[in-house]
Amino acid sequence: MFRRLLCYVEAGETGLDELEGLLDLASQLRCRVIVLAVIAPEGKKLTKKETQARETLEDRSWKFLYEIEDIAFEREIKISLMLEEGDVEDTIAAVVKSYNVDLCSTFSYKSIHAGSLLAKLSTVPLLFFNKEGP
Amino acid sequence: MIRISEAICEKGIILDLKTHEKIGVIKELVSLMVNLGLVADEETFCSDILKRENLESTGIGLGVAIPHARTAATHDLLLAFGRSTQGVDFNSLDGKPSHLIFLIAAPEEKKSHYIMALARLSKMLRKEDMRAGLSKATSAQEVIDILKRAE
Repeated sequence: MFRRLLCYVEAGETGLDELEGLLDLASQLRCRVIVLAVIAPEGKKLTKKETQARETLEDRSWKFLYEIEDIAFEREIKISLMLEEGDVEDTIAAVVKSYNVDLCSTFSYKSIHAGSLLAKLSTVPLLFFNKEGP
Repeated sequence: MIRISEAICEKGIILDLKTHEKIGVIKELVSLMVNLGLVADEETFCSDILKRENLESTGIGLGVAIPHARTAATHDLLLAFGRSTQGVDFNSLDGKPSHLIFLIAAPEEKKSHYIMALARLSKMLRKEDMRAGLSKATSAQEVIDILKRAE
């Protein structure tokens, strides 16, 4: 039923332990997981400090993605990693559309407004993982 | 801190890969490391890399692929680079062939170095000027210089 599951993650916000739910679901659905991290686009007038902060975030995001990949590999889950630049909700919607994603999920409540993202996702369901339960 | 330019050597670079399919390319890059005496068991090494390829698309898009594995067949972090003008299908999500292929492997006990190297390389290769430089490099030393400048 679901062939491609997209999961938006934020390095520093999403914990590796929180991913268990996602990996369990991917394992049960036997689908490919696309793990996506999004960073702000490179501005033209960034200060040295801002550039450095951006570089650090990109480093951390890639590191987090590869840590997730390593765990998924141990569980024999098919996985692809993506790091994109742009507005979070717009980027999620673009990836969903471009890569024929059937189910979209996230752990992050910080950068996402559920209503606005759902509107952008059209008919693709959005799943919020909540470590603490409903 | 891991420096990509220090983890790779001239003999670990092929500017014109002979093969144009994924398994052949991986074997070509692995043979470089074997010739350098860095791989204890070629069969295990190849099998660990290919096992990951079966589950993951190590093509990260933008014409880049980073096949990788943690393997007991080596004692250190290993890095090789191959370039293909024709391009190789690494099952990238964007569906485009990979022209710049970096192979990374490390033993279990160097997991943090391995993750760091993968992250650093992925970040470097997102930059267009970096990819253009590697595509045009005319020697293995130039590849290393480009990596050095980017770090």
